[in-house]
Amino acid sequence: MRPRGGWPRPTKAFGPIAGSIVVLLGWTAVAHNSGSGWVQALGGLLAGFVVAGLVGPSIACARLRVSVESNPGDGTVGRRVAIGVRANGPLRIEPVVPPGPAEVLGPGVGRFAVVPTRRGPLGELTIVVASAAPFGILWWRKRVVVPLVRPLWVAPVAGPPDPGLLAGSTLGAILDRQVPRDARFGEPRGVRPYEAGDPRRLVHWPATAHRGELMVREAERPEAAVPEVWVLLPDDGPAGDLVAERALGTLLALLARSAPVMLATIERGGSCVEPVYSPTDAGRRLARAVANRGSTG
Amino acid sequence: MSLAGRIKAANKPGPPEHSVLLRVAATGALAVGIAACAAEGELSVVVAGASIVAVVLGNLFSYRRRARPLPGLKVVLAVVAVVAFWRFYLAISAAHGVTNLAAVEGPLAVLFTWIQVTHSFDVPSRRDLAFSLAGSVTLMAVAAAQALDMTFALYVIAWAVCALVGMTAMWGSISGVGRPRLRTLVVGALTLVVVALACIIALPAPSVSSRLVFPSAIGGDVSIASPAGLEGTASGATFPVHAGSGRVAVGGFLGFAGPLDTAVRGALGRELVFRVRATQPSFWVAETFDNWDGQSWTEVAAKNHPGWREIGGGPPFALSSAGGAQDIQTFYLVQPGPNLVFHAEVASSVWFPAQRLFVDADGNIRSGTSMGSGSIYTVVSSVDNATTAELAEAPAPKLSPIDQARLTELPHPYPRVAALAAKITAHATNTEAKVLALEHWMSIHTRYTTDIPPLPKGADTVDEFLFGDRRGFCEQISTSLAVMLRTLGIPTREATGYVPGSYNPITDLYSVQAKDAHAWVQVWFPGFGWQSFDPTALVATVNPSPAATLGHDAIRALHRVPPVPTVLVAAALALAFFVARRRSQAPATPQAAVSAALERAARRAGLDPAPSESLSGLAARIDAHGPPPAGRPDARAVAAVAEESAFGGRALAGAVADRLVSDARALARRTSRRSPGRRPGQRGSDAASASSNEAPAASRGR
Repeated sequence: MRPRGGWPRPTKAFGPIAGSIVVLLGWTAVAHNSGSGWVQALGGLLAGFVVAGLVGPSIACARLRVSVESNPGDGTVGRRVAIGVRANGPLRIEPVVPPGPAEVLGPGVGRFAVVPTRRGPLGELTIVVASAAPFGILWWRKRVVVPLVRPLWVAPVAGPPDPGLLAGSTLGAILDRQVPRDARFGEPRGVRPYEAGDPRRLVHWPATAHRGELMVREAERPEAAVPEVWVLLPDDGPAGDLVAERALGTLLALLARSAPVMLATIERGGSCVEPVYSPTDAGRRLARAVANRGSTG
Repeated sequence: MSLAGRIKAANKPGPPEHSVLLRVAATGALAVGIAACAAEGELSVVVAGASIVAVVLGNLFSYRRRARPLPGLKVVLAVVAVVAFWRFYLAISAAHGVTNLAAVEGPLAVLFTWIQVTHSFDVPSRRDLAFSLAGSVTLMAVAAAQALDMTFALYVIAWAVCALVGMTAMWGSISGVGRPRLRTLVVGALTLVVVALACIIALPAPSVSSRLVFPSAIGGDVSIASPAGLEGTASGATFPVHAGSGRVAVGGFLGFAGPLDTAVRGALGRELVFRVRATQPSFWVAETFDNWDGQSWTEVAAKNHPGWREIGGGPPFALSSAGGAQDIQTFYLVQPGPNLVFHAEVASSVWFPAQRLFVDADGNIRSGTSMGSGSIYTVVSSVDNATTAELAEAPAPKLSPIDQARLTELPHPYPRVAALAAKITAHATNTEAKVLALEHWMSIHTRYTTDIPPLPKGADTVDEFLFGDRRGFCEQISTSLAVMLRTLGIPTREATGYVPGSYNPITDLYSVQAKDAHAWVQVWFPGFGWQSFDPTALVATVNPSPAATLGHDAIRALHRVPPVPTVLVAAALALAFFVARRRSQAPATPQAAVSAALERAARRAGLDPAPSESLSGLAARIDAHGPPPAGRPDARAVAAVAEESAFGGRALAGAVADRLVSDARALARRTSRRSPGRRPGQRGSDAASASSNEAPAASRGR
């Protein structure tokens, strides 16, 4: 995906343009009334500086090319995420979606930060790039959308854990203990041939190499039940984010007691019931989670 | 935010500026501005030199203390600034008061210099340096207002370079780039030049002159003794002794003597006589003559003068209240000249630095003393440029009988001249038509040249000219027209002075050279007064636009450019640009150079390097295409060393790196091009076994 950009526009142009017009008009009046051609020639040079300073940045801004060089795959709402970019000229970057502090970068590779405000995947950034080249009199800016090198999955911030869930009771749509247990947790028992639907992480590579066919691990069903959390988001908006935050808070509390925790979410490809082993896993899963569009099945 | 808060925020010191280049450029711009003021006489050399030294020291001090400004420094500098303002006030109060702008310029330059010198000790931040740059503009403006010639261009160029470097350095400092790039400077300079030229062309500049070119390039300077006119000093001129005093032969033109002797052959030089700032081009009138004796023009006033009058009281001298549009001319004398006060058409008032002036009934103006170089005076003239239609409708010339007789008087009847004039104007119904008919006839039947033999003793200039070889210069041509008009009863007089000269759109001045000296005819039209006609050069006095003037000058300059050195310089610049570009695009490291060379080799072999392909992989394909050059390692060996040094943390010695790059480039040079008949995928042992030189032959034989 290529960066998409708009037309450059001046920023806070009234002051510089009005000041320039006043200075040039005054200069013209003096030059004309004094009758001195050199004053006029000097005014022409001054006009050259003004024109180059006011209009030049538009050309520099239009010529600006920015591409993301590097970005992390994970982020969290409200926390800075460093983005590495390559630019073909000095510029000021002001992230818009997601927002972030403005940075002035030189040509070449530089870094700036964005602060995601929403949970979910992020495939591109909307930034405002600005240039005041060659004299720094007036900034011209344009909005560009630059694709990330890889998707940035933004996890929700951890909200308050649900006390009822931590106590072992159900919590409405969030927790459902009636789902069948998964036999992937517990003590290792041996290996068996791969069956369709087995998770990749259960593949036992030494056994596979030994047998010449794909083998997966098998485990004894644990004595204690693995905590299971089902997260059904009401929507993909703020309400859904709120639920995700509470779910993450609950998950972190559960993971602090014992890992893993079985997490059931609905992703774009369908429902996903997978264990999470760490806060990062939990954040990633909740970043991918979407609202339940159909039946809650 | 409250007003006080806003003021406080606006005056909050900015972060210290670390860019040395910006500081040097700002200091340079200030120094150039101060030097320009000194060059134009606004500052004494001592003050200018001390100011430049102080500005440099001040900026040095500011740079050293940029992060730790001295406490109380601002107070001290403020006191100094107040003292400077007080001195400025005293200076203008003691001079001519604030109503006289010209008297303010000198103290203003001193004030600006003081302010900048003071300020240079407290320029820690970028904003302060920007103020220094802006201050340099004001200094340049003060100097530019006084500049009269093109040498000021040196200061303008120097200032523009400093300002350009300073402004780009400012952007470099803002963006963190550091030093401005050469391309930025070049583009900025081009923008400045283009916009400045466009502004000069487009701005409503005071207008320009006609371009009158006279082929009168004769060397020499004939000086004659002080003829008639005034003499003495400004305070004690005696009147009327001579019609002109002081140096009357300027650049070889003898028309500023008492009589205009058409028998004398002068020689006109190219030296600059004076510059004129005027709102429109005109003939710069020096004298008019009404008495023709067959060889010389003289003023009747000089021998039988009823109305020479002395005007005292100092400037401005009110001369007449003639109607017509006002035209203001300021004359800047470069050469010492006669005591003639030049003017356009009819002078109505004169601003002349003397206590008295002398004016005759025909409007000729004399000063009480001759004028040296550097003299400046201003004349307000009434210009009544009647249109052709208006002149055609003008009634027949009617003057008082005395003036009619004086201005149509001839030394003898001129029968042949009268017959010729009557024949030429047979179909002309009014005065203007007659004048134009005679001018037209002269433009066809006479030839301009200054190379004419001396007038025989006792001969009449007009007879010799019109019925001889009809060759002559402005004096013969204009005199002939005047005499022909007088034979027709039309009041006419001879005028001498200068044509407008060449207009310089930069200085906004007409540069009048000695070769611009001229003689022409003035004809009386009732209701319009004296109207000038120039039979010598039928060039209309139409204002060309500044663009046309600049374009004309540019084309003329281009014609003068020597082709061979220009081509050599252009070639040298192109070569320098090419080398600089190659250097800027050259690989930064030996590994990058090896990579580029192997990619080149692959392309020569018809192997398209894939973006994801490693250097070793690419080298293997190159080796498969053909063997390496004799004595050189194969591509894989080169790539292995490059990769090991690039990614394995193994530094390459200089000689090894050079050898590596050399091997890679040899591979790129020697790799054979893909043979046209090669089939896809046909690279392997057979291709690899063929040497690079044999590969095409092998291909053809297959």
